[in-house]
Amino acid sequence: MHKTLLKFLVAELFEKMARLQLLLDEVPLEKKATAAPLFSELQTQLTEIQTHVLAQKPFLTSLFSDKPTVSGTTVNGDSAHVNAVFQEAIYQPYQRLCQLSEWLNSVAKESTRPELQLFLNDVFPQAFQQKVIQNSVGSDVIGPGVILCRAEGISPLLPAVDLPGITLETLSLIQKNNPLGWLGVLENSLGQLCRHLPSVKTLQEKMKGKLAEEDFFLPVVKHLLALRLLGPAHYYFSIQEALFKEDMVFFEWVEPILFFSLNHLNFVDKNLVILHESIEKSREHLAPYTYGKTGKASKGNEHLFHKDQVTEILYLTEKEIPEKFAFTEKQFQKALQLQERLGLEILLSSSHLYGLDDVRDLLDKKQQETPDISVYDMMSMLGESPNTSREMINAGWIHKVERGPVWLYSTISPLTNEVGENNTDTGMSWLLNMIERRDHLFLKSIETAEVHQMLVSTV
Amino acid sequence: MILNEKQILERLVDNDPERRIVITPLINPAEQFGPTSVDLRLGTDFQVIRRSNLTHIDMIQPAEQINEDMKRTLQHVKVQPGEPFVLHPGEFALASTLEFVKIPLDLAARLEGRSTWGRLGLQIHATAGFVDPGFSGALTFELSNVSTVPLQLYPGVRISQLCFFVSSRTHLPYAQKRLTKYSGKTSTASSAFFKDPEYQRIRQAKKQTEPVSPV
Repeated sequence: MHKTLLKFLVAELFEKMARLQLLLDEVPLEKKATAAPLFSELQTQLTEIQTHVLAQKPFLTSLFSDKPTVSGTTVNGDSAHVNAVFQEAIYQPYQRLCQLSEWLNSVAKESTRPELQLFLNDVFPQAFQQKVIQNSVGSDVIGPGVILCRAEGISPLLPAVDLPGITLETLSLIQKNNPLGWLGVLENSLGQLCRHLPSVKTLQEKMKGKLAEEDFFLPVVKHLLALRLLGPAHYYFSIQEALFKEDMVFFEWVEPILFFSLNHLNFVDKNLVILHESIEKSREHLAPYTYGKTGKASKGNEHLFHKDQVTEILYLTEKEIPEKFAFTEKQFQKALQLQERLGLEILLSSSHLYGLDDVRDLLDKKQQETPDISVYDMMSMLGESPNTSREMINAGWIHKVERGPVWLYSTISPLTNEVGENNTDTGMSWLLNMIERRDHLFLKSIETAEVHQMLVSTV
Repeated sequence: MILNEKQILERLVDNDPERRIVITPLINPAEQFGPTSVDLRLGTDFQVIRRSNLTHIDMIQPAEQINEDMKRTLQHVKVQPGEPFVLHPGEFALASTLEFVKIPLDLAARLEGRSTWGRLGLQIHATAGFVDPGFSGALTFELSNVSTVPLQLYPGVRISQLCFFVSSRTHLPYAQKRLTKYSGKTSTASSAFFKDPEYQRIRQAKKQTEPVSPV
């Protein structure tokens, strides 16, 4: 696997370990007292997993070594050796983490945060739900309703809900406090949307016999609807999900289509391209069956769908999700601008109506033109408009993809220092603190934007 | 010297990030600015002390124990936009500003209540209204209702005002002080008094003076 992608994956693993630790710390003492041996065992096992991952010193330090390798990968050798290293360092710890989260989920009985509803109101507002009902074949498709916490990496069988308009969704317990991890709660609602929109059925009929793999039509439509609704954050979220699931189909066929669509929608920045190129270079590992036969990576979108067919699906998503409900190019630009605030850990809930440079220039100009201008008139230029949850979450993902390797380095750097060999706790403490701070920043930003929106919408 | 509205405005757009005051979100600046202050709004999260299982706060227990006790006795209340938090007469609650505030190194600030709310009996801080140079985060309110009727407090309402004073440039900004406890917090932060080093010293001193039990 190429280094950039591998750093992305390992950083996610560390984040998941830290998130489980934070959840465990969050459980009230009274609750812990009711099942003390269980919680104590959970902590012991989680510490064991952390120690095991941190013990993979050669692998972890090789992620940041400058030594040139033939393919830009960290581990050289035959594929069996490479797989063994990845299993030991990443996938086995992850599986154990999933088991622990299942355990914690069954005893902690956590519910989702109220800010999640604010995010869903942004993605599936009432007006959009009404539009979907009008357009769908049945009248039972609206959007996400009840959201249940579930264990990481597990898709439970959900009970049927006999209430019109309610779609049951699940959220990994580990992502409870992480708005960047909430994107998966649209899974079933988007599936419903795909199955009930007449335009999807019509297009499916039209493409019948022309697709290499017809079974992938609906999943691809679902991904592209998600992209239209959520922006590039959906791409990043899907990559991390697919990496942990070792979802070869996604990397072989869906990812190239998503990348093509991101370009079409003008949602591409330099870090996204770097990540995509890293996936391209890792396709041998990510989709070994199709790659292995010919020795060349197949070009997914041409293999499964022609570009024209992808464009046709994109056109469908544009028709079904009009601009006012979609994540737009303008919002993507705003998300890019929010990077500065994220870097300084400043609330993301709003953006200035004018850039500060423009305000400065305007102030100077106005004062020269009208020396007796009221200071209060000038102040109005400093006003801010609220940002949407989607803008903030996209900003968060863009920032994370850029800064993730630095955070990973800070977490594992005590390993590279021989003197600090026994001081690996420092790295994990730093990570826990950083994640907790950032979660608060996002949650507070989402809430604040809602209050801001309420105050300006009634003026 | 206290900054007037024009000086505050200039600091909000200052070219130099080190000299710039950050207050965000500024929802309606013309409404929020006073001659020498900027009004700040109430946020959405509150903390109240549950007294039913608390006899007293034991200040010299081990720090970890106090931390756990504080967690157990503090009730976190999250209020949705458009919903009120009701502060009853005589009740005390912690809350925080809706805004994120960053004070440059050559300014100090003071948080005060607004007379509109003072006339209704709302106090927004008990004792700690001073903000050090270099502080960043949400400012904490120590809310008390000293009137005789319950007050409904809605997130987004302007309950306080912040004014700024010029200071000589500080050598050690608040955020970099070794024992800083509240910098960078974006939500309501409860007291971390037990982290003050004097408690550690008192604990040790007390241990030394405790009579040794006869064997």
